[in-house]
Amino acid sequence: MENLERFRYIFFIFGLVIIYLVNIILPYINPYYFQIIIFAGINIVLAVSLNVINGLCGQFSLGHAGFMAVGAYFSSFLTFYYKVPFPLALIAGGVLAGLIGLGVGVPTLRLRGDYLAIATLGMGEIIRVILFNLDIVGGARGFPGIPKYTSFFWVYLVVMFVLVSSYSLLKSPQGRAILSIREDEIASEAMGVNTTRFKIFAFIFGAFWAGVAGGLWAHYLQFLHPSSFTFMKSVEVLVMIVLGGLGSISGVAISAVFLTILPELLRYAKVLFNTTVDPRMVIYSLLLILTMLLRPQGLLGGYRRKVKEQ
Amino acid sequence: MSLLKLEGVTVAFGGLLAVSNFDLTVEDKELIGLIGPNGAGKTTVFNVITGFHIPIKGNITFNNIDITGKSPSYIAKLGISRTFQNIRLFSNLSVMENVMIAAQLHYNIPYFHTFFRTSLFYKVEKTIEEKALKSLELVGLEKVRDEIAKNLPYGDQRKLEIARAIATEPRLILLDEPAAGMNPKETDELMEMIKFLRDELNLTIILIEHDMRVVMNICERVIVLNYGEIIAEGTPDEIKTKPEVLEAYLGSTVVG
Amino acid sequence: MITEIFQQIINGIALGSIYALIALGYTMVYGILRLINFAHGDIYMVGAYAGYFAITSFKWGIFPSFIFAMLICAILGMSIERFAYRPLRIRNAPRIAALTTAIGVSFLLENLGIIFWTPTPRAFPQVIPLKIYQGIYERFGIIVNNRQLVIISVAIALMLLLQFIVNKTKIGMAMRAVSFDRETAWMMGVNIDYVISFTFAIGSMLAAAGGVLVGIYFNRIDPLMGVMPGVKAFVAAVLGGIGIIPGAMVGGFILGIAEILVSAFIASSYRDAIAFAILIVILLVRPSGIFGVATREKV
Repeated sequence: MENLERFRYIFFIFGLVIIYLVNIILPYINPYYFQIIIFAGINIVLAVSLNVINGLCGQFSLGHAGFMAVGAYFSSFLTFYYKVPFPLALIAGGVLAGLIGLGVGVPTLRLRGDYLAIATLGMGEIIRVILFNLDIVGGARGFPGIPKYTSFFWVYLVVMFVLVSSYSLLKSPQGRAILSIREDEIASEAMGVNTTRFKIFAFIFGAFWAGVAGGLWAHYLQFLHPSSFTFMKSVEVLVMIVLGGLGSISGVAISAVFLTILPELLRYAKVLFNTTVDPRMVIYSLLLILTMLLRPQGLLGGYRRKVKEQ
Repeated sequence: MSLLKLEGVTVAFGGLLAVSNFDLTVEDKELIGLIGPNGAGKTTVFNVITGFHIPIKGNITFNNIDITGKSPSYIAKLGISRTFQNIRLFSNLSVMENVMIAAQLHYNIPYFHTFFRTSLFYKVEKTIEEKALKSLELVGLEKVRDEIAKNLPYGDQRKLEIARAIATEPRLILLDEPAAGMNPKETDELMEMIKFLRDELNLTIILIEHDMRVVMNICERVIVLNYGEIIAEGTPDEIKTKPEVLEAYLGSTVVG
Repeated sequence: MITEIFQQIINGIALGSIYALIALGYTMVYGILRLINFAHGDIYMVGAYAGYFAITSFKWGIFPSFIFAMLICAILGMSIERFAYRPLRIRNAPRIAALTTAIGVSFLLENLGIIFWTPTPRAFPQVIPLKIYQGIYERFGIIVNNRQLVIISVAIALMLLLQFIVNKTKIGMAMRAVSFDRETAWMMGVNIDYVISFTFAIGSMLAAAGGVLVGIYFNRIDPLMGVMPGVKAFVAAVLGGIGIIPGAMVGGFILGIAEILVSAFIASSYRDAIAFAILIVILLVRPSGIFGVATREKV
């Protein structure tokens, strides 16, 4: 185990080389597939980071779209107005999202379960309303003309970072402390775990990567509008982690890819049902309900929750 | 110098006094039993010592440090550990992980080392693991270290709670009904273990127990609680004969 | 200025009474199941559509349409409980699972609405001709229209009826018992499933009433109309103290007034933020709400 871990740098470099090579070939493939691959990567980042908050730490957050919006807008603001280099802008977007995560986390994380869910939902909506009124980034008109910096290379580099850092966190004293909060907060405190501190850390960690994902997203689409970051966006990410099995990093990543491809496949359903409206969301919501009813541990496993009223 | 001192501690829930004017002085290496009928406030005493309840009145000092109203994690770091009446394990984690979470209490490793997996990280992980294993060996659970905690039989879950509590390297350990649900053989082993903890590991122990065999056999001092107040105190033999204790348990004058 | 404020407060009360009607359903379900029924806002949307179709397709009058919408939603609410929430409850699933299911149901209703009724907003028929009263208020220059009066009085009548049911009837007593301690109520012979079903039915009927009233008031309905009022009504329930029926009413009125005042005197683009700002403040200052009693977790 430990020996395997020691090779992680080698794996990492190996991964980098592959990403670099694929990056050279990729522009020659069908742009439609290319776009799916990009979105799959961004969704992995979103899902794996939300999984740290919801799946590992057990704190039910519905504000991921808000953090994503902060990262998207701030990084675009930096590249658009100040020509800040892309990687720096991405990090800055992540950091600001993380800071907001800190600001939101400190007061709200003492709320439990569904109260936290609704508070984070509210926070996401407040962020959206503020962006709506912020003229410097276009307000209600949207934010056009963002430079197209996002490439396969950047997306999958971030994917690697988010996966490696989540695994490193999971298999560490801090990770165990975070898991213990999910399992039993009271016992966790009695064992000397400063639960508030770790909850806030998980929150910042998740918010940071969501912000970075937002930056990648913005610099791919080149246009931002506050209405892209509604509560629905948070729920989309939530569906990914629930389906992948809350707490399982690999399961969540796989389900993020699956749920990126699924809507594309569902285009056929659209033809089949002969409807002009996208049935995607209906199928999404049915999936969510059926997963909860039939396989609450997620389609791909994940930890089995204890069957006990919390 | 006494290890733990509670002076006039009062805990209220709404208007109800769960514990009132509670005084207790615990010397180093004592083994104290806390008994009383259901709802007498025994667990509340544990909760107030470990910081889960904040007293409305009174002082608690541990090892000369005022811990009144301090957070549970701070109090745990100072050296008070506990088990829970209604077992609170980290159910979906392995036995080993359960104990490691407790064993890592005194090892703070910065995030930098975690994310970059420095050699310091592996060194600390190894130390934590060794310590955790030692605690598991003490209660005899080293063979099931990779089992998921909730899959353990009931008696083993109680033992795991104790292993987890001692892994934090406490000076004082509070055991909340450790023998509950154990068969007589397991209870005998438990009594051996508790004596071992005190005699070999030099721990101070307070235990809440309904099984009088345990209390009478191993405790040196017994405190009887009823309606949140101490009604009797003394050696097991003294307690057995006190009329107010019999009354509290049998309700010879008060019904309900 | 004073006149303007009073005028806006009247408008706020009208809006607030709709929030209050929706909030009642949230608070009752939360009181009994400890579940945020995310689908509740969408039941309100279905109620508005049921009323719309009763009036336009069946050519019914306002009163039968109103009853029709309430019955449809009662059935819908009970089916949601029966098929989506009860299986989880029986398995004693964690609350997060129930919450996720509720979000799923909410999305399902919204998107089915989009598919069957198209996303385009529809004009709700103007069944109550608009009349504007200035009469006795003329001196203060406050304008009240008859639709506002209808909304406020129907809402208050329904709330009084609900208070009566909860406090004076046998089923109401059972509801309170289940809310207080489900297990003990069960041991005392209360039919838990029946009580929960009944609660969903009542809550959904109130939401339906809110939906029809909103149609009358704003003349406009669409499949996503339940999202925001749903979340805001939940905020109202939390504000008043979740699980407490008068709390939901007061919370609804406060929220409606606050929202109208913000859009009138600050900027209408901030009106959606005020509910959440209130929510976050109340959760921090007094998480148990205005009428709530603080509870602590059992160690």
